[in-house]
Amino acid sequence: MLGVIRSRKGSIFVETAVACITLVVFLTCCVEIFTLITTEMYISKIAREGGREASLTGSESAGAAKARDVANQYLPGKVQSDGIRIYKAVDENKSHVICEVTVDYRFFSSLRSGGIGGRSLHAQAVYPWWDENM
Amino acid sequence: MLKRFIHGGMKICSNQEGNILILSIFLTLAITIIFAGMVEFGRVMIVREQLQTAADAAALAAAGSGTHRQVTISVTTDLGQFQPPCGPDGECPPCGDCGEVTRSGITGDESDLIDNGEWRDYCAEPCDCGGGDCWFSIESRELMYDTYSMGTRYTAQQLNNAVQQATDIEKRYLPQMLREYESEVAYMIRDLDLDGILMLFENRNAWVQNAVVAQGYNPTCYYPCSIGKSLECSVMQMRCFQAYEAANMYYEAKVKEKIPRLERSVARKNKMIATNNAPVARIDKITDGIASAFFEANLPRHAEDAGITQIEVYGYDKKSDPRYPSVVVYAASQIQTLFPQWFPGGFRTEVCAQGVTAYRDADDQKSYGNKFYGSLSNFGKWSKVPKDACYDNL
Repeated sequence: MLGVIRSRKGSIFVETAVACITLVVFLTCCVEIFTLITTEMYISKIAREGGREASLTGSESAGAAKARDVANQYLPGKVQSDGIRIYKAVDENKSHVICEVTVDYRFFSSLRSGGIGGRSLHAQAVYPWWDENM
Repeated sequence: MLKRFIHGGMKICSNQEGNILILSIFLTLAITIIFAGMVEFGRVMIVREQLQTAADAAALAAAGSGTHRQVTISVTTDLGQFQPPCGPDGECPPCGDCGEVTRSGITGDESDLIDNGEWRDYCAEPCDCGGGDCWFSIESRELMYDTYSMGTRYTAQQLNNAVQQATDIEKRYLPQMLREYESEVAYMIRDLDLDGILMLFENRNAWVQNAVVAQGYNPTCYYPCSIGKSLECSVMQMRCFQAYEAANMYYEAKVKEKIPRLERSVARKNKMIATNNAPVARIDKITDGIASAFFEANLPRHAEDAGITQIEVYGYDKKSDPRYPSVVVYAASQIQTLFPQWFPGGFRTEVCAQGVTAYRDADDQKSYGNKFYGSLSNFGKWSKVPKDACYDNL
């Protein structure tokens, strides 16, 4: 038994296996963080495009459609239908339209269905609401 | 001894145990640095996206709020026709054409002049038979972020010309409407302005007396008869009285009915003057304030510090600039780094956003017949897109 432990045969294999596992975990984490960052960036972009479209056209539905288009382009399948919300906030002092995008980000969802844990990412854009500039 | 040491060192160097471990450490270190760099870069990119949203909303709000459209229009009135007096048998002669009258070069704020219908105050009073259609044509259209350069409708000279035009219409057609006294009426009103004409027509005695005088009679019908000329004198006096009587009857039958139209004409003229002379509000641009408000509403959450660095307004004073009409917002943000000991200043990111103010092209609107009765918002295509300022300046 002691002989097996003292034997150096296969030590390279063991070291390689341990190192590879460490590297793979590390790289997977890197990729996951990268995905998280890009997702955060993209939801900002989606909120901006949606808010801008709603503001320019004076139509909340047009803004929502634009936001969905951008979401399908950058984050296909990740933004739920209720994840995009556009609404007006109009009172006597201000008039604007708000586009909110929420994504339920699941970590390692590419490795495991449903992922492991997660967090809710949120972005919003506040644009003016008017139709004066004709 | 040395040999033994060298031999021992060689032994360490030639020993391959733990190589993978050392390689892994270096690789892990390299990956860690890449990972940290990626996180830093990612944070910068996230803030940049949020900053872009803030700048974009600020530029769009600035470009679209508090804008003013200056238009120059011509107002045309179809004066219709005038009805010459009907004969004693009830037969009425055909109507005569009064034609059209156009008042050009009326400049002002589109919301006042067109949307609020002030252009109608520049319509002329039509003749008394048909007509009355009044419309406006657009000559030019420009956009402003303040109203300091806004045209004040008519200049004093243009207004005088318009008033004179209204008087000339009466002087041209009023005698024709009173055909039996055409030359007398033309003579009576030749030196009067519009108010004077109305005053004359409202005053029966004055009108009758002027009509008699216009026929060459003495206003009092008093003809001192010299010896030997009593017959001639009596005839003149008698004719004068007859002229008085006829003019009096004519006034009652035909002239009086022209007074309401004359009153409308004077009222239109006064309204035009009042509208024209109403003070034009001088409104400052609100681009900076509104841009700041929307920037604040979209302030990047992860930035240590963020703000607008410059707002460039391409307004009416720069209308020859290809970037007119638009507002360009430059913004910057400061991000604290995870390694302040290496990057004490943190990271700075800058963005640019251009808000374009779109308005309908006057030249294109003219292709819709250039005969409008109300708001122009349903006619014409959007105006040219200003040149991209961010692409040029960054």
